[in-house]
Amino acid sequence: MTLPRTLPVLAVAGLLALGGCASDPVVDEDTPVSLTVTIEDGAVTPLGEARTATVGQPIILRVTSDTEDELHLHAEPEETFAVTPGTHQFEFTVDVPGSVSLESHHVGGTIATIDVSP
Amino acid sequence: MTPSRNDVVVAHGIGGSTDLPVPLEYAMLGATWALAISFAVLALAWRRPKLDPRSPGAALPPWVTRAVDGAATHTALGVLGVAITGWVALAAFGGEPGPTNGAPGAFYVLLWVGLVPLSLVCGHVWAYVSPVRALHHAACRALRRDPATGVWTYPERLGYWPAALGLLAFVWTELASPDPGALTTIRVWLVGYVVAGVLGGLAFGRRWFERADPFDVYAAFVAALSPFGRRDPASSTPQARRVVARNPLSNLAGLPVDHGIVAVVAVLLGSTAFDSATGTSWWLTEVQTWYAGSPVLAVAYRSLGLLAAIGAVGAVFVLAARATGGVTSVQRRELPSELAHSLVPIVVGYVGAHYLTYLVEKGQRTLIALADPLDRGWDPLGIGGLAPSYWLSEHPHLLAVLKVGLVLTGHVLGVIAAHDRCIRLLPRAHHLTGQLALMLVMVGYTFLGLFLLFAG
Repeated sequence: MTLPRTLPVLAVAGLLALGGCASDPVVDEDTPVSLTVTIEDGAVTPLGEARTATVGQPIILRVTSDTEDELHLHAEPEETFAVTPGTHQFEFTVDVPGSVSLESHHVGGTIATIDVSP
Repeated sequence: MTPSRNDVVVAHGIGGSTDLPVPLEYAMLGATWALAISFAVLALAWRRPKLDPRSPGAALPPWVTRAVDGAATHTALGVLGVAITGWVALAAFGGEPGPTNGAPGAFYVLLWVGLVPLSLVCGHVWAYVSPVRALHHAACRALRRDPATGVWTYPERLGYWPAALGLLAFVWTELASPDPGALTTIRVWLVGYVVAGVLGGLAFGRRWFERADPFDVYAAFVAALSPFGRRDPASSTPQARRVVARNPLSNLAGLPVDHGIVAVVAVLLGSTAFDSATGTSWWLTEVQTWYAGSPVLAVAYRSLGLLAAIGAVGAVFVLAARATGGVTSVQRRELPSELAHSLVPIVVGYVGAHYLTYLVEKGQRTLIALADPLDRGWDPLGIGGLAPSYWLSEHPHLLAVLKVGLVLTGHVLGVIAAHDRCIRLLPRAHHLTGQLALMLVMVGYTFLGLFLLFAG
């Protein structure tokens, strides 16, 4: 009669595992999230980079470009970063939770999506 | 870090963030329930057809019918619809482009998404609010013609196909065209829709709006799932026109079947799935590398993806609906159309889950922006100074529960609607096996929808 005893143990283990998945990973909210973007020869790297952050956490964007571009941050509200040839650094925070994407406007491409949790 | 005021190309034409992914365990839980409930319906539900659009329902007081059918109500709602359209046109033609212009939001959020809850709660009131119906009515009055009939009879074999094509054009504009948020795009649609609607109405009469007008047909499909209907939808005597409240699934069973009905639901479901799919890491890290940097290729790949999603949803449904024994080949050919209404709850649930925050939060932003269409400091309703509330986004777990709940509810209603229609149409020996393929396809749609809420 091991089965009746095994089932509750499995159930509890499953619930614990679920609880473990559900709780958010520990993040230091003061450490900035950094993102490095290169625009070269008409191509943007990276493409589709996935990041996580929390509301108010500083996000630092380093852009090295050989051309003029505009990076759009699709957040609430929208933000735009003007890029000229050279290396630039932008710092911003996201204040409304959601999945926020960063796009190159002129060269073209979704560079990253940042899942910003409350 | 200066907010851009012009020429912003934005997702969905209106920009802003999208929802956080639904946690995996919520999606898994929803999927498990969907599977379990589906088999329970198959095994335990009634064996004689129950859902009847002519079931008596509960009659509402006579004044409701008088108010709903009153000429004064129709005039008031028509004037309201035309006035709102005119106000949006002010913003589209005279306002500054950029985030303070409410015209794109009015089009992609208030009209496209707002139609769904409006029709679900109030029934097909769009038939009275529709600006093209109202303008057509006014034109008919000026020309002393009967608005019900046109110059020609609407060709019966077209069925819903013109509406399906119009819906496809709309979702292509929103999800695949080069610049959905540009005011030029909104202007083309606004003028094109009004001109096509009024001319179509004059040419073919009321049938045009019931079969060819994309927004009217979308609204009518969702309204079929509302709790309100007429006592006998097929008859026009005053007694039969009485407004009643009845089981929404009984109303849904009365959705008029016609050519192209599968195409309409496939466009609605497939396009929403495509919208989610373009947010997945697979699309962004793989597919995107094929077209990034080339606007022409971007439009080409997105258009192909959109068509593929719609085609796949439609083809799988047609095959599954036909997968039964005991029917003649003629009957079998009719089965997909006869069963298409059962996808409407699935569409409504998934669209609701996908666009809930979009409607609530971007809807607020749109209304605030619309207070001042010409950037002259107007604020007739005193809402121009308000800030949108992001309460829903700030409670992502509640939002996830709502979204999974909407998908699951739509799925269960869809399976029940399909079950009832199958036992009405199929010979007794094939009642269970005949609906099995369709039910599994519905489970597949729902799994995919939940997966996309998690991954997109």
